[in-house]
Amino acid sequence: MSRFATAKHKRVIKQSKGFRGRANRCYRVAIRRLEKSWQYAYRDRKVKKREFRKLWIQRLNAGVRQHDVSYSNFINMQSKSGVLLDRKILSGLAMYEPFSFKAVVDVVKMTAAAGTGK
Amino acid sequence: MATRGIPQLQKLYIRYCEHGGSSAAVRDYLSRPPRTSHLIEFATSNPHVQIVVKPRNGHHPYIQGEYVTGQSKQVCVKNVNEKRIREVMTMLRNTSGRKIVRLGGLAVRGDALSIQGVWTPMLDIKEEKFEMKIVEG
Repeated sequence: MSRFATAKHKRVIKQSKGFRGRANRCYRVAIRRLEKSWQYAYRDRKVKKREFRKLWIQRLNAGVRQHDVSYSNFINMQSKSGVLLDRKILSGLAMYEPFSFKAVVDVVKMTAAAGTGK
Repeated sequence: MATRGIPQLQKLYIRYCEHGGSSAAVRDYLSRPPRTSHLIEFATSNPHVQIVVKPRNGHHPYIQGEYVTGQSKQVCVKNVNEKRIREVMTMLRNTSGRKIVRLGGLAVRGDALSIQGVWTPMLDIKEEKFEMKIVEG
């Protein structure tokens, strides 16, 4: 085996740590699995943003339903109120700062009521 | 906004349509009498800004600001109310031309997860009342 092939193979196999079966040991299998993993990584960099938004929305929905409003209504009211907080921050508040979250929900409800009352 | 004493906003373009419904608020804003006109007041209090008002028929209205840095900011003002137009003018005047970038590194990490207490299913704060008031601003 030439020195250069071994070095190249070693460099590739180092990247396939944790892969299943012979893909973490043998160059030929590893390089195929690696190419697939790179494709997944490319696709999932875009998908990650979608997944996180889904998670935030689920959490917001749960948090907001405790205050007698649904996610869809809340978002509608929030876009008309002056609250510029996004789903990421709001879901974080719902999890870790429940009093602040309730305050935000109350403000949004109040501006909505004032808006429709006018 | 002024950096080291130099106001950053140099030019302000207001483009609107003379007939379209989306430009109705812009047309009202521009046609106010001089005594109550926000545009005149803005122009006199900001002599460093060159304001260009040009009709652009058949298109939605926008306000564009050009800055000392060479960058420009465009804000679409279709179907807004006059209060929003005043807000946009003030915003363009108050900001620098620089891009909005995240400063520093990632968020600060501490040991405490939460100050108010992490949410639990047993937490019941429906009776909590906060002092709230709507303020026109």
